[in-house]
Amino acid sequence: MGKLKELVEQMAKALVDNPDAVQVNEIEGEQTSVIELRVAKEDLGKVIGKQGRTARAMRTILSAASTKLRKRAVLEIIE
Amino acid sequence: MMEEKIFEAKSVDQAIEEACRVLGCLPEDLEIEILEHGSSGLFGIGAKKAKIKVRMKPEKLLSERANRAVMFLKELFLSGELKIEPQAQLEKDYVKINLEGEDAALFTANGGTALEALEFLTNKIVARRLGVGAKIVVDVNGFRENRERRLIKMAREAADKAKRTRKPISLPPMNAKERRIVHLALKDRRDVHTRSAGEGERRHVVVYPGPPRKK
Repeated sequence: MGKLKELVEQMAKALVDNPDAVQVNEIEGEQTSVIELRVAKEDLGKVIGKQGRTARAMRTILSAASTKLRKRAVLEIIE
Repeated sequence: MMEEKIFEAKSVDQAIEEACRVLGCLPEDLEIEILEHGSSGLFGIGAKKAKIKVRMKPEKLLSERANRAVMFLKELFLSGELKIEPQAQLEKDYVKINLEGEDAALFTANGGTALEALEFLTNKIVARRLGVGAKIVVDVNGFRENRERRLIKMAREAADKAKRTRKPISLPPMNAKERRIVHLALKDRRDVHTRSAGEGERRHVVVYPGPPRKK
């Protein structure tokens, strides 16, 4: 189930100026996985986007990918 | 890569203007090398033409954008262990990327919201590196075209029903792009008019009987 974590990492790294500062953690639950994303402070806006559009796009892609695993995944962007 | 082209005119500025006209671009899209400054001579005697060599800046090239997009998508699918292969196709003024493979269907479920999200993200990432330019359209085997055709059909049926029943007909919630397709599909009809109603996720088109009211 490490794939979803990597998926988020890949998206985040492509969006930010400091890819080395991208950290992704996965907390696996029985049915739901919580994926925590941390980025450099100045990159926060880049992963959230105008009116949260980028964050929403990442969540939508994550949930599309997670249906393959018959699991739910939640993306939390940690400030 | 586009090859270099040489333009000649009375002055350097005119040569640049000519280059932009021929290539259909702005001066800032070009890398310009001045070969001859040219001179008007004395009473036109001994006049020399200005000569420039131009090349489209790489970030303005479709192929460059296509490569970036494909690279991002390939890595993304690989990291998520999804069996999807992105195939780029260069159209006249945009890049089309078709997703092939057994997992591509994951993105067309729920009316293609995930496909929309993927397209948004891909454009954002390409624009970050290469600046805003030609759009990248992400599709799964003509899903988008089919969706558009279905929306137009739906719009026409709703219009006929609104006319017949003389009652407004509400269509299901749609995103801005889809609502636009519906509005455009009915814009030339004199017997109905359309308007969007509702907020956020619930925003949808309503088809009203009667001609559009003049503002």
